[in-house]
Amino acid sequence: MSLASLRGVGVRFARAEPALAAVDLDLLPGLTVVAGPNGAGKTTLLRVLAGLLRPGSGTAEVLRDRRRIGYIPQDLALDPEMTGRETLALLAALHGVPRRERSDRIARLAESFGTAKHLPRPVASWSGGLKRRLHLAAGMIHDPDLLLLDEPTAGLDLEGNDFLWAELERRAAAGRAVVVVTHDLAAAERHADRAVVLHRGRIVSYGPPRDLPDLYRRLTGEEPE
Amino acid sequence: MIDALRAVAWRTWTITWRRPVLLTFSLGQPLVWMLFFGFLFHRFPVGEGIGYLDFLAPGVSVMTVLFGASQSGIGWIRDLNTGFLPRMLSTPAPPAAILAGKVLADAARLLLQSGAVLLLALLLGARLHPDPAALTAGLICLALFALAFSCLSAAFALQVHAQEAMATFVHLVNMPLLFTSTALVPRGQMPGWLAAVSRFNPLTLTVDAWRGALLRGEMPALRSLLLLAALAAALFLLALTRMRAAAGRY
Repeated sequence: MSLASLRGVGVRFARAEPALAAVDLDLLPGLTVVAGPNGAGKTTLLRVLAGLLRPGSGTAEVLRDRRRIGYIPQDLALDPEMTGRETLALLAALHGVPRRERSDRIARLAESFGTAKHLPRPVASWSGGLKRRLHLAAGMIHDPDLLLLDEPTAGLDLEGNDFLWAELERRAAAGRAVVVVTHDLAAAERHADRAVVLHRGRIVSYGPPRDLPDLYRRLTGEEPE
Repeated sequence: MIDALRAVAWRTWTITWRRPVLLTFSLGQPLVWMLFFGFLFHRFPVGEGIGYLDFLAPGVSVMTVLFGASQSGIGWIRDLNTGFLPRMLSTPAPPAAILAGKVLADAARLLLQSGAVLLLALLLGARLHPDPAALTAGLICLALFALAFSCLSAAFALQVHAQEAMATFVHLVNMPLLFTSTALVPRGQMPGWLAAVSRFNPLTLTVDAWRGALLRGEMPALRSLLLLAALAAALFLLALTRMRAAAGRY
């Protein structure tokens, strides 16, 4: 069952080269990583899948119900004056999570990301790594069927990294679709079910993540970061 | 919709109450106005049986709402800069609920602050004679005024994206409004042209309604109530448009 389907999708911004060109993709449940050099179109692809960007050409069939989609951008988006618990509770309310389920979800996510004991403190007092974990947890508070993460491991400490991949694998195993843009190809090879390699706005590979670093070098002509 | 509105309003209140120093200082300015103007012009004739401090207290009370509402935009700039506003807008919650939650919480705080100003005025010797029904109607006028100017401040802030520009807003909007209104001076003491201008000033509409309710127990004119409601609705729509446009740029 495909959760998003792209046919001949093209996106062009002001620059000469298209950000995406003739992209065909059927997104299945499980953990999919998107890799590619800088400027390959990874974030653009994610935004099209999230329904935040309408393609200039082709068709994108994505989930219409925004409550079923979670999009976590790379840049932190937290209010430093709110506590961790207040942040999660507010976003749960805005995502329409039923009131009676909110406490359990907050507790479970905080446990998964190792932030439980920090929740009562204002975010301004959290370390950079902890803020990143809260940023990620906040994007999952509504338990979306399609979760899209843009370079979630950037700025994440080692422990946070482990928490993140474990949580993503758990979601994928539960039949959800998880799409992760990452430069960490070794982790992608270890955890993902499928890998998309993008180069100059085109999908040059879509399949199992076996030998992903070698595949990446061969297809893009660049060294993985 | 209601749940989202309540959650945003609660968040606004929570953050506000964490800054008691700011709340205290926001009462300092009206106190200074009442002390200086109240005692400087205490012989100023404002009406039969009414002292200048009695006349001034409702004016400064509404002025507190105006100045507080005009600072409301700073919170929106903060939320844009931290990326939290785009994050809130990327949820399925209606943007109108997010805007309404914030401006309603701000308006409620401003009403409490204007009440505190009246208590200060009573301590300084002002004499008020409110009637419960008129007071309720006057409060509705004050609330609509607070909503309208919180929305205007939000629209300006979301247009300029710079906290420094809010000082310009205060001078550009508040000062002309204040000095062409009946907040500090009765209409009868104004030159003819200024008295004519003051009739179209929303601050005058609110001050007259609030003063009438507090000093004479008079019900506000229905026309004032409707005009303030229309202004609040129009500025709410303006702020909503600016909020969507600003979030789209991030």
